[in-house]
Amino acid sequence: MAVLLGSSGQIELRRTTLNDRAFQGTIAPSDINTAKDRFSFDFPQGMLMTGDQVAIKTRDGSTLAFISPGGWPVPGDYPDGIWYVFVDEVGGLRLYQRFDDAVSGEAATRVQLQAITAPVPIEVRVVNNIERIVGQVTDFELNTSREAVDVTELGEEFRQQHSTMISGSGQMSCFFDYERRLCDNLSDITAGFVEMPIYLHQLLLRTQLGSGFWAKLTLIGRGQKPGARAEDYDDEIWYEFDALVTNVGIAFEPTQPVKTTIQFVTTGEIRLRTRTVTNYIVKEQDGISRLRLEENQVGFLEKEDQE
Amino acid sequence: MSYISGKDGTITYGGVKLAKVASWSLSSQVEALEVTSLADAARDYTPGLKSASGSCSVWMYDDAAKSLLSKVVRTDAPGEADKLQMTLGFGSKSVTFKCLITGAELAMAVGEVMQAQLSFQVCGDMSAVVL
Repeated sequence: MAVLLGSSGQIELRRTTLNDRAFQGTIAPSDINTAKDRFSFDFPQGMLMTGDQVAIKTRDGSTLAFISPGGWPVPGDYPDGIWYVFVDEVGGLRLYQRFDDAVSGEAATRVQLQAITAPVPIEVRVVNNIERIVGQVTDFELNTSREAVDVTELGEEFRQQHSTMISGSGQMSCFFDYERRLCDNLSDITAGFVEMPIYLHQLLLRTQLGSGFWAKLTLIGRGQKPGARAEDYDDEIWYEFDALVTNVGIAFEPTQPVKTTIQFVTTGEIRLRTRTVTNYIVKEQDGISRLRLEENQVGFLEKEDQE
Repeated sequence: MSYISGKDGTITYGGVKLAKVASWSLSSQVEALEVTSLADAARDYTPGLKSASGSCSVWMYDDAAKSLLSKVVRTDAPGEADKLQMTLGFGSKSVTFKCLITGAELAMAVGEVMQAQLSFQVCGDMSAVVL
């Protein structure tokens, strides 16, 4: 038995679109600026946000001719690909291989574009991204509820209830911020694994693709627990669910830090996960298993078992 | 002396108490046949025929509603044998009559427990009335 503190809580968020929504458009030759590696097409303002991982593919099966052969992880010409985007203030897009490069709009690492002679019909989809910890969170809450229907029948003296649908809702509060800075040192987390609160503001206003996200709310995280034994270090308890942002509020007051409050409702299944066994990282052994770092597609260490 | 509420209600059909009944209602009428004559200052009536009809709701729980549903939701034609002897009870009181099940409504909705809504028409006079 122990009294647990809120300091072990954490929110992880995955950029995604629920229901696999896609948007179709056409890139004209004049939409591409090869000098600045910037392009655009007729997508609604607010549909794509800086840092989104997008899958772009041609609708006619041709290659994405505006991507320079060097802009692919493996040089060549392909009909579809996945990149991170930087969206400038006039809706211009730049593509990147890495999330943190996209968020900062780096000039050196952007994917090179090339001129095209004919329009390219494309389909754009925001794909499942990796989980990132929401920064500056001060508190969060999740309420799960189960509806009960009265099934009392004639002749009974006590009410009978039948359980039906499960739903969830909650809110989180954060100190408002819009970018991670070089001197920040939150929990030794690198820039690519932090999501800033402004993203949830943008998500509420995202057009076409909706305001869906995937969330992991950690109740008990890895680390020493009060009154627990050393082998409990890896114990974790967390909720997982898909959710929609329904309300974002921000308040300004002199002498007070600017805080933002985000309310959400869950959609679909809510899962309460527990892990109470110790995690072991597989030791690198040639020919049996190895650890691999994939920067572009998933960006985490992946265990690959050899047959 | 006591009030009567839903916990005192029952439906008995063929001598057996029906399970999982959520509600019942009975509506009885007597026709008023007009016999107003010339020179009368107010309309006058004489009693005509009696009639009664009602409805009940049964939770869909195992076969609770099956016996009544099968009188309407069926593949063959109903006959004289489908008249039921039904007793609507409320506390120590009851109304007993023969009836035909005339309607059965099944509806399924998200977040709700399924019910069978049944309506019936009383056939002939009441067999017994204890009010």
